[in-house]
Amino acid sequence: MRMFPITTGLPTGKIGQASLTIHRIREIVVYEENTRTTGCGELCLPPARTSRLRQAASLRFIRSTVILLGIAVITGCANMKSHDVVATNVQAQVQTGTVASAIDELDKSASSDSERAGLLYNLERGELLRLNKQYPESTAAFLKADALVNEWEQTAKTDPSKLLGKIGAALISERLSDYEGQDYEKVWLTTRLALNHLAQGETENARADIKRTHEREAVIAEFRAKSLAAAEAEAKTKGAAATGKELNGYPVETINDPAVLKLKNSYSNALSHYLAGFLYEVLNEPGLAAPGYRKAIELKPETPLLEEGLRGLDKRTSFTHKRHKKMTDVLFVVEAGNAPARKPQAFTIPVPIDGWQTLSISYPVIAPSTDAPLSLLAANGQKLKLENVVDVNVMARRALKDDMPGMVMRGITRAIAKSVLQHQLSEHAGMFGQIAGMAASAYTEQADDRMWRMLPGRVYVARGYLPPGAYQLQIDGRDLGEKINIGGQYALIPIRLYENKAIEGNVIAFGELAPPAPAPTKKGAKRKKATT
Amino acid sequence: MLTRSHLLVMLLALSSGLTACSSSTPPVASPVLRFDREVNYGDDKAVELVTNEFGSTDLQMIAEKMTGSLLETGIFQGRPTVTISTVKNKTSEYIDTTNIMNSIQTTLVKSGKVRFTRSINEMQAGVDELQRQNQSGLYKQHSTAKIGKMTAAKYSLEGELTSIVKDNGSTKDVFYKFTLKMFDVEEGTIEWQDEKQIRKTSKR
Repeated sequence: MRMFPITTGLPTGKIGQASLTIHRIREIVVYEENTRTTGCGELCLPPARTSRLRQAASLRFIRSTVILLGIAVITGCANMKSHDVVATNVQAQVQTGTVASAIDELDKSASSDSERAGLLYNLERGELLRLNKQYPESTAAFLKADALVNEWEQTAKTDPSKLLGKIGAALISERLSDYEGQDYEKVWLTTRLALNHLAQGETENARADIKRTHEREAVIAEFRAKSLAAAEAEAKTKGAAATGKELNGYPVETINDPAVLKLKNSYSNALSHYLAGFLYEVLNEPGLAAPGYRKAIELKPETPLLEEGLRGLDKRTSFTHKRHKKMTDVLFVVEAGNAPARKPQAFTIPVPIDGWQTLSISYPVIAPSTDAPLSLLAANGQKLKLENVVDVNVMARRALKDDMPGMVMRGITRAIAKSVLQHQLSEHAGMFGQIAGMAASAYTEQADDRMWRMLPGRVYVARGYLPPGAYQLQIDGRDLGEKINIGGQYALIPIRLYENKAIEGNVIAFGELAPPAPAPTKKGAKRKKATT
Repeated sequence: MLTRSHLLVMLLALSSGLTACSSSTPPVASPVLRFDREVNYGDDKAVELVTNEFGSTDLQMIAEKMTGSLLETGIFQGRPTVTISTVKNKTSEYIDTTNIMNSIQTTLVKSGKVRFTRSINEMQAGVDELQRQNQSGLYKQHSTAKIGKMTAAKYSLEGELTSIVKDNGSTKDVFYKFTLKMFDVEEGTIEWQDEKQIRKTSKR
């Protein structure tokens, strides 16, 4: 007997594709029913042989089911654990203890080599090490994560169908699939690497990271276009209709709010492009700086600071301007709060088994941020307006919104598969089988709550000219701690704010200001005196 | 005794030897190492159609058109001095416009008909070097390059690259236009101008 050919290949796409899955599963259920009642699968055999075959098939079924559940439970002990719980504990350590104790807390959560080699662990660890100003160690962790994203990128470029197949492969639980990272996290990663390399004084490596950021965005865009096209093509061939009723009960307002819908996509962020513009400008490559500033404006329109980046580029990069510049062009990157959490929530969904039944499926929910926005940065009293350029909460909700149709389909597929499995177990293994099936099903039905949680919640930038010197910084009237030294032609100052903490990163200075004009000679002074 | 696996290894070695003989010679004299991923040298002038973003073929087409047009004008009588001013990238693509100008400059310099002075982007490095020679006290006085002896350019090249992108989901159309102007620095007049237009369309 052929078991559940329900697997795989479910591309992400429109919400209504859930009905496509239901249609497919209905066929399978009918097939199962036929096999059970008539003893005929694809071939009809003599009754005695059929009975023997059915017995053998039943044994095989129970054996494979037990193995499957066993794997789910055993691997589940490690992989079913909630990342939300781990991240919440780590964040609590950063807020109440030290960043070093937060790193220890994270390290405790990864006991095996494979866990320590994982993408999410290295993303979280890299970010914590960066907060602790351990830049080389942070870069090493990010590079481990980057190698995994590079693999994904190569596959997306050369064999996208392989990734599309993987998207639908979570038959037991979404948490058991390999974590590939959200698209916006892949883009953040190279931006983070660039900032780390800058803090380490490796400008050329930072340039390579910035270049890879926009190249990576292009790969993601191409892959997403292909996956959408594949989903649409499959939906068309199966005659699927977009209804969206499977989302009933889900707090759709969280993923349909205007801020989420206004985003161009879930992976491009204005900070990465503005930083690209800034770095290319610093490196005296205005031809490359211009598209960086332009893209930042496209992603966050009507933001005066971003617009000024492009408008003033020609003047700022002119030879004469640089020769006469007496003040440092300072870019403050202020990061506040934490990236949002994906909280699993159970929803009931009607599915076509023995008529229509309601099954419980777990989906992640992201609550909108309630953090108060920041508005003003002061450096020795000189006020600079803080502009919000990235809201990671909104990006995460957009990513969830884009992933939701596929997630709904996979949830229904999984619920039906588990339901049929339980049915079979109770038939073949009695009450024990039924209880074991129910327990395993409930245990594995938890939404995937993995995401890069150590990222900030919102990012603001402020830019202005400041004379070289020591500065006391304040944000919205709150002192940020020790004074910092600002100097050079350009300077980049990263600041991270937690509820009660402000962590100032290394000040990154570029180039030197032109030396002050020599004092007038005695001769010249005399002549000047004579003329006055 | 020869097993089947021995034979297989020998066959593989033989076939790789034969294919190595028949393949085109790579432009390096060193032994060629190959790993699991297939890597080949390609024709640097081959038309590149991987995506419809700005690519190597576009760069080569623009440089070819501009140099051909400049050399045909006959403006470079007496090997005048030229500098590259700005090349503005007005597209939303990260295109290194310096690369286009470098290709144009290389061909013009090789023609021997023109002399280039430091461009704006190259000036800081030149100033730094002059200061190093004259102010560091490290060099013999008579061997240092003197400040204030640079030759100014008679002409300046200014360019810009623009694009119009249209995408309706199934078809993406990109239109690039590269415009290059040569100004007489003293008189402020345009002495030469040309443009290259490129249209690229891709379907999903």
